[in-house]
Amino acid sequence: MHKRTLLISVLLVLAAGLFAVYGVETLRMSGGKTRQIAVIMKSGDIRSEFWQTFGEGVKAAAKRFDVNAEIAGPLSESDADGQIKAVNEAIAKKPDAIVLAATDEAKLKPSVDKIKKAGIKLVSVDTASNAGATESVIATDQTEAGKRAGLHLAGQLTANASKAFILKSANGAAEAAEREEGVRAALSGSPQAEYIGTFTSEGTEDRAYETAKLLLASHSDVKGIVCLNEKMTLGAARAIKEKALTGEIKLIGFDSSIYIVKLLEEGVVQATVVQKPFNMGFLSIKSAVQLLSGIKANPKQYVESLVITKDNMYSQQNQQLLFPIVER
Amino acid sequence: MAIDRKALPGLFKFKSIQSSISVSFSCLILLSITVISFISYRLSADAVETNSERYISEIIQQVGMNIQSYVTNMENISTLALTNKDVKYYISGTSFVSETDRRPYEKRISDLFQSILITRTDIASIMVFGYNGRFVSDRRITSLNPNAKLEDQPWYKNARKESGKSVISAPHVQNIIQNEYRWVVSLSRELKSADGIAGEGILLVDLNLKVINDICSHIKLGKRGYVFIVDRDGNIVYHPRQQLIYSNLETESIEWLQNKSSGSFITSDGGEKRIYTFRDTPFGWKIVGVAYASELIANQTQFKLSYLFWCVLGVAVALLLSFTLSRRLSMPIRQLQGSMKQLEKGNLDIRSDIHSTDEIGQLGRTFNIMVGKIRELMEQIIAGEELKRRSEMKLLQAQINPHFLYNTLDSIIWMAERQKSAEVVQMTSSLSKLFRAIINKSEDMIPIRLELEHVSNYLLIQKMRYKNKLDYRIDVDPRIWHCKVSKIVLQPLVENAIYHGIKNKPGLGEITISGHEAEGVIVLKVTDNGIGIPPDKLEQMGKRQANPSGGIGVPNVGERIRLLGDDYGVAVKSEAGIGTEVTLVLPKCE
Repeated sequence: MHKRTLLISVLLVLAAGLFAVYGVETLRMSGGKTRQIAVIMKSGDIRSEFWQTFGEGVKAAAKRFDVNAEIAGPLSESDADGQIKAVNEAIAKKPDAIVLAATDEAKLKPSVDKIKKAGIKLVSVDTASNAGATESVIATDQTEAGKRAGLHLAGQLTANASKAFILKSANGAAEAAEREEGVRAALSGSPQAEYIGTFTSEGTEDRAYETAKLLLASHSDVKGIVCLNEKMTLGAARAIKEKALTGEIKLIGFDSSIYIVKLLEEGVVQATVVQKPFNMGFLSIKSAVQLLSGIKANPKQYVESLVITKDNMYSQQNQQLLFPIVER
Repeated sequence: MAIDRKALPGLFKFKSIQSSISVSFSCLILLSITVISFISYRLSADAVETNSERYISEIIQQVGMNIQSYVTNMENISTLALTNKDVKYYISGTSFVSETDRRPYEKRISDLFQSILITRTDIASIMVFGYNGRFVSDRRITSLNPNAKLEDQPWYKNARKESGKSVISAPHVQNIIQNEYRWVVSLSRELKSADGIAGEGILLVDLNLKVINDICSHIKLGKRGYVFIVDRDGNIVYHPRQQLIYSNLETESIEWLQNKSSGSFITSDGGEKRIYTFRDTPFGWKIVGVAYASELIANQTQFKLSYLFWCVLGVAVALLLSFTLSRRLSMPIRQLQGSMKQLEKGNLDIRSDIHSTDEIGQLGRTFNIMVGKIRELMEQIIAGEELKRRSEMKLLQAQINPHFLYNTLDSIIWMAERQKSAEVVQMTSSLSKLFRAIINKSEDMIPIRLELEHVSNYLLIQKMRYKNKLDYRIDVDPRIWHCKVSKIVLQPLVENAIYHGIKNKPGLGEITISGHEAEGVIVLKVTDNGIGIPPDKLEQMGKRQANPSGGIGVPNVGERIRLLGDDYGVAVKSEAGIGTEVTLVLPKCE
């Protein structure tokens, strides 16, 4: 009699095993559906090269890691309300993770809390101070970028104790403050440069130009300027060109655009420090995937920035940073 | 469960044949199915991989041909420009007298380039730079970027170096035209003078990089597969994640590709297994397709699943088969074992019901024969024992009645007192013979002659005691005298006849002992003419009930005779007042 029981139990075990395998496999096949990651950028404007390139990085990573990335963002970087709306829309779609580049950290705080409450993994991009609230932060080390800018300026200055100042925009405070800190650290550490102060202008190119012109008039012995963003750089460059001081005054800028490229070619701008938005976009998705897979992602990842000069701007490595290949 | 853990020192030690057969079958089947499945899975997977490699190779070839067609087109354009007389004249050393002389040439060349450009959307620009400082483009008015030095441009330098051969550049931003920064792939070529030796200028044809990007990015090699391009020197020309590679965030297995024109390899560098397939193009680029092995088999899970399913099904069926088979094999053995157990318990009527013709069937038949023999022997032994026991007992019971001895001795005393010495002698001698016959235990069977002697001794004694009351006659066929009968079969009957028949009868009683052979048996009769037996008592005797009144004679003798066989026995015939006839039917033993 027990022979029969043995036989039946063996068959039962086999059947159970078969079903278990089948179940697990089907579960795996259905559960292995593509992960959804919502990416909310500071700006969805197609003219914003930085964010468009960031988006390219996101797309490349989405393909690389086989996830679905949905990219959204307000029309302008100053549209915090538009971004809050975009975050809410993203939460409603119940993605597995959200990559958020907050335009305004204070205003976006409730949205961040909402994302956390919904149990969605959050990766912050380009925001340094919000680290505690998110699992992972992808950012450019702005202090380091500032240091590079300062060091490059110091390298350009021929005479010792050449006077240099920083031109800073009134908006984008957090980023600018870190850059300034870096620049000042570099300048104070090198004997060629003598830091004479940081001057703030309103955010437009015209205001920057006016401020720069005034500063050049009042400080005729200035040999170096570091401008903390693109608009400031363009304004300062205009002032330098107008005063025919091209090459006399070394100008180091941040970020890039076609105008900066031209200024680099002309030699008005000696160098510009650029970020790597493609890498940032890629890494943000990579971090999100790691978080979703339960791998402890590096809580804070810095994407290095690069000093671009006239000499290396057309190198194979750098042209993609200045001239992003963006599918439009 | 059949497997007792403690009784399992070895792997294949089982309590029953069925378990060992089924377990070893199962193991064998399991092993072979697993091995076969694994091998065939590997083979199929390999086949799929090979197919995929071929497929990727074809795609790569297609990509190469597509790009090649663009390059060929650029070459054609360059040849067209090269052979154009206007172009030749325009860049040759000939100095135009004035701007007005130059204009028509410029216009004609520009028109030519323009007409080419209109038909080809993939071409970004066509330009000719003469070493004499003149240049013409596809645009009417072209202003060159004052900050970009022509001589520093890689395409310019390389074309000059190659002197006449066309040069394909890596994708780059073309900054030679003011305010235009386009991603292009440049084909440049030095224009020769009429003698074919001296260079006169450089022709530039720019291809929109978008064309190549589109070709490469729209290739589908699974979900994550991609295409990248390296040039002759192993530099990456195109890669979907070029920037990450430059930043060392990603690596690409380029070193494998060197010094080989085409082929494929599999690598697991950096985690996942990938298949690289690459192919050279005539213009020096190497096109590489990368596919993730896990994606090649589109429904790999299903593939695996169905293998697993059939494997498990096969194992299940095989196990079922092995169980039934082992069961069928071991069933007759277990039946035989059951029969043996029954036999062990003493059931000699057991017979095995195995009717197969194989070894086990033969074993079963032998078993049956053996059991039969055992039973026969047992019966014989039992019967013999019984016979012995009984005859001993009967013999004991058949001992001479003590009263007879006492009476006989009394008679002898009485005769001796009367001085009848002759009679005393005769009686004592008869008594002595009688006793010797009774006491002699050596033989159970004695010739009838001897039995008749005993009886006549007995009768002699009784006749002397009862004088005129008893007479006897012995009339036995001498031909049967030598036949053997159980001893003391007649004496009890005679005793009965005297004590129950004649003693109470007034007048003379006569006892006749007769005997003859009839139909192979011996018939002995003791007849008396006594008072007979009353019918009720006769009926009791017929029922073989023991006679309570000391009448052990007839049943005793009857039982002893019946032990010799069912055909033999005692019959009593009696009629009150007339007499009794007791017939013995005995086997004829020579």
